[in-house]
Amino acid sequence: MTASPREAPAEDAEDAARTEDDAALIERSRGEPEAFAELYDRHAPSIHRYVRRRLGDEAADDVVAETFLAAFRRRERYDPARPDALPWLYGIAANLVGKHRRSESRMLRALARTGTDPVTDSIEGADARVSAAACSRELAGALAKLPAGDRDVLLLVAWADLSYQQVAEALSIPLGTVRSRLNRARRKVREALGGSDPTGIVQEETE
Amino acid sequence: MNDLDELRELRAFRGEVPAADRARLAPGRARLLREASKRRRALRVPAWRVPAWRLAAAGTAVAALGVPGVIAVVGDGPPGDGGRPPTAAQPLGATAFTERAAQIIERRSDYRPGNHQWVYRKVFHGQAGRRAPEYEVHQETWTRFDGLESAYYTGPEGAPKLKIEDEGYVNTGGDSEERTPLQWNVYLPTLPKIPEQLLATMRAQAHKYAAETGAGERGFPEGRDQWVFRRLAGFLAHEVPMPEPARASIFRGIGQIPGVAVREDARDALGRPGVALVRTGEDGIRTEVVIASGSYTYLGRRDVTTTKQYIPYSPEVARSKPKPRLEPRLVPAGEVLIDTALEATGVVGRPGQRP
Repeated sequence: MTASPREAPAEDAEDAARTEDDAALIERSRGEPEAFAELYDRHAPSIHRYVRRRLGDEAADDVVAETFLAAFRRRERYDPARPDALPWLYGIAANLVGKHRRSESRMLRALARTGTDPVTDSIEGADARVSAAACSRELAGALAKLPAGDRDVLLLVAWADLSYQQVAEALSIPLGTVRSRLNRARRKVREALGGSDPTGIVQEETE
Repeated sequence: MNDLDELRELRAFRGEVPAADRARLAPGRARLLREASKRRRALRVPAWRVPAWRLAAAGTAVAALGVPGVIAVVGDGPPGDGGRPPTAAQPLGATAFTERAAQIIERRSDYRPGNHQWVYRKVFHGQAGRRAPEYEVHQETWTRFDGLESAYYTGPEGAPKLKIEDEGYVNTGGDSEERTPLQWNVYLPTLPKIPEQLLATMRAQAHKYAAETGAGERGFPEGRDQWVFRRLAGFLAHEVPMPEPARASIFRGIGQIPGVAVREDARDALGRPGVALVRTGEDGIRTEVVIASGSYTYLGRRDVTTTKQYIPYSPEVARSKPKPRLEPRLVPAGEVLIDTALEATGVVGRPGQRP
């Protein structure tokens, strides 16, 4: 019985989780659809945080739910040679985030303009004065100006900790494209940060 | 600034955003499970892929067993008493009861809701898990009569939210048994009015669907007539979209199925009194459909084992699973497998409204 989302996973599910990689789990879910919920348990927290950082509190729940629904419907096409499904899930999430592009840019511009971040100002205990990133306004301004594809690559590297290869898999783009987008995006961000720093000494333009 | 700094800055940017906890993620998980449950029904029963009454939430006994169902009960007989269909004396009672029901129902005027009105259903799941949220135990659904939208409660217990969905299930093929209220309203009157013809139609459907699910000539494990009994009883659960003449025909058809008995001291899963139409299948599972005395409205359904047995899973699932995990389960005689009641139903103007 899996009626309650609050029910603890059964012991056998935990056993399976320890021995089964994502590819095997997805394969199993083809005949046993409810097994896909285990993939949700494994990865929804990471995907949720990523989406929330991009779109804020309000949209995150829906986008994450839709990410996993879309993944579930596409599970037949999952490449079983990839044991870790996280890049695949990030790719789906990034596409869905793309549908909220205007809202994402609006929030970034608001932060750049006012210094108040709509994404984090609702978080209890968060204090704008001690924000983990010292240059939030400049970063937000730079991110807002990036082309969507460049922003996707940059944030998958910076926030999702994906390797270049994983980003290529996630977004279904060639590795070379990942590199060029990332270089371009980093250069723009670097310029924005350098410009904000009156003591900015070094402006490196090369990798 | 060296080339690592901007990444370091970026990693810290909005770093105070916390990871979501289990409660926060629960509604999304529930949505996923609902979708998975739909897929499981499609896997198990390709031809009649939706329960005759659309009420099974993810993970209910209905979904887990692949048995469509709603229910109620009557007193359990002694273990082992129901392995064979009742003897010849009993069907007479069923015929008389169903004929009386049909005659009264035929005198009623029919009512068809407007396309933009909503069908409200509240279904009580007597077998829901102990930790299931209240809104899943007493499950309320709103389905627009034309099927273009549906609504249900979801979210954490204590603060459930009404979720309105565009319904994909309206886009069903002609051979689908998944129908909108409007489609049921159109379909049910097309069934034959003469009981013998209705049974012949339903038996042919049983044969066809059994072949599609891989059972072939063996047919469904519960037996052809038990399948027909459950199916016709399931139609009765469509209280709102059911045109009255069709309801009368279905009662008459049930009365003609060999082996159907009547119990007059029945109660549904909520304890409401009624009359049960009872039949035991070849699989040793007794199905009891409780009908309200006098009004002949559908109250619920209960499935009970009459023999110690393994509850089987469909061959499709067994084949498609590289590592089967839902093994057949050994259950004793007298175990209630499904116990569900149609707590309330009616027509309302908008989702969230109750009759």
